[in-house]
Amino acid sequence: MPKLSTICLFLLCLSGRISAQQQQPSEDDTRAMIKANFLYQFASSNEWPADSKKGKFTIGIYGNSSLYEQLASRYGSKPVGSQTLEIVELKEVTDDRVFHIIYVDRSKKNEMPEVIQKIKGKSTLIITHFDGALALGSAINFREVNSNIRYELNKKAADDRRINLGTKILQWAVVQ
Amino acid sequence: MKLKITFIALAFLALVVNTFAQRDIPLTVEAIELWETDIEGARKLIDRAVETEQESKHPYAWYTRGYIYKEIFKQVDMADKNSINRDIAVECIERCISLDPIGVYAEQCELVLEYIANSYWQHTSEAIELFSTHNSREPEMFYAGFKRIFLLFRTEAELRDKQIAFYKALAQAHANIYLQDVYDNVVFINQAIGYYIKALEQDSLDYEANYNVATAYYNQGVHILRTIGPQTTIDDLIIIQDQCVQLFTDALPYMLKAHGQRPDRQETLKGLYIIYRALSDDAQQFFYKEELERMSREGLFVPNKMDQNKSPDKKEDKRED
Repeated sequence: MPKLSTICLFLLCLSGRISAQQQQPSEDDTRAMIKANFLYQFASSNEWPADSKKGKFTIGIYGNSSLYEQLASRYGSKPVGSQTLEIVELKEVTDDRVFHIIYVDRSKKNEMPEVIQKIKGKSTLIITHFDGALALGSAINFREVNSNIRYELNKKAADDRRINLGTKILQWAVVQ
Repeated sequence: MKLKITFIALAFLALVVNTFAQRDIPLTVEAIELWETDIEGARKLIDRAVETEQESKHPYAWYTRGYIYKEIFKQVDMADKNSINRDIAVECIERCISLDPIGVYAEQCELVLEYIANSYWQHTSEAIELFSTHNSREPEMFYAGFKRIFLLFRTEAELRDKQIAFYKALAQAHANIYLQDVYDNVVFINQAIGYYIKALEQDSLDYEANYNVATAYYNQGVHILRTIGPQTTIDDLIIIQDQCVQLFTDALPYMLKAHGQRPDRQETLKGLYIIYRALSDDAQQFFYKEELERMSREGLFVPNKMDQNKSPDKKEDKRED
């Protein structure tokens, strides 16, 4: 009963087209995304002295383009209190411009003493991400804790610059 | 030569049936003579045949009915995915097999079953291609049909490759739905991961499944991180980070396994580099980044399709810390 043509059809059997493709992992810099948000939290949850509450709220990023891009693209035009946020990528830290926050990347670790010197007497919150940064004058230093990004504090460094760290910022800091 | 022998055997069998069976199964023989010119007439005859006490006991009557219903499914229903004639054909072939313990008609039955199994496979394939939130049950429904029939004439071991291909394709279909809206369709990426893992239960060394599970976990974490912004509180940020680190941690063993199988593939080295980066493991991320650069410099990578199919959300890596 089965004809030869039918048999040939059967022989083609199970030539299904089912196949899967490969996905690609996203190349977003996840650490920069998290750190950018932390920087925004530090900007909006801490208290700067009254004379720093005029004009724009400025954050300088010294040595991490990826973080600068994240911060600028996601938070660049957002308000901090009554001020407008301005993000600047710094090629160098000079004393002719005042920043509310300067982030010093680990790639600029060796320039930390110079940065501290340039901001002397100014209400600038120094935020860093390298071991031993608090001892060099940083007020907030990012740390890896169980693969998470957290931060440690040097409250005295903030107090000396007349910056009041917010309750939530104090609450989530890890013990040194 | 083999085909020639098979053809002679079939011709001989037909002759035997014609010669000896005409007495026992007259309606069946009549249906056989009719089916090529009048398939509907043949169907009516064969339906009557299997209702008679004598012919209903004959396996060849059931085989013939199965064959005719299979032909109706193919020629009249145009292999319609909802045709009940396909089911009837299978029932008849199963009945033939149960009445034929020594397997006189086994080879012929297998050909019918093979055709029907293939039709289910094709419908599975089409349902996966057209997969959407509205037909999300169809692929599994057709695959269940394929599997049941396939196992009537093949072994579980022979099913394995098909099963893996099915789970991976279904996983991919779910992942595609997720990518249409990564925030509303989260349930689909979890289902996708579940199907990849089912494929890995069949073959834990399947490169593609390992790589795609890793990527699915990792990308889910990235998509969650993309939700953070000025409205995010520090409490939320801490919780989101924990959630993402868990997803990145889940991704890691699968990417390591994929890399172990294919160390010559660029995408696994890149995958390991970015997963370790996300997990803040500097030693490992730099190791894999250097490996990536070294192998790229020395031209040691085996090219693959992915290189021509870059992700639309790919960004230049400018990370410095």
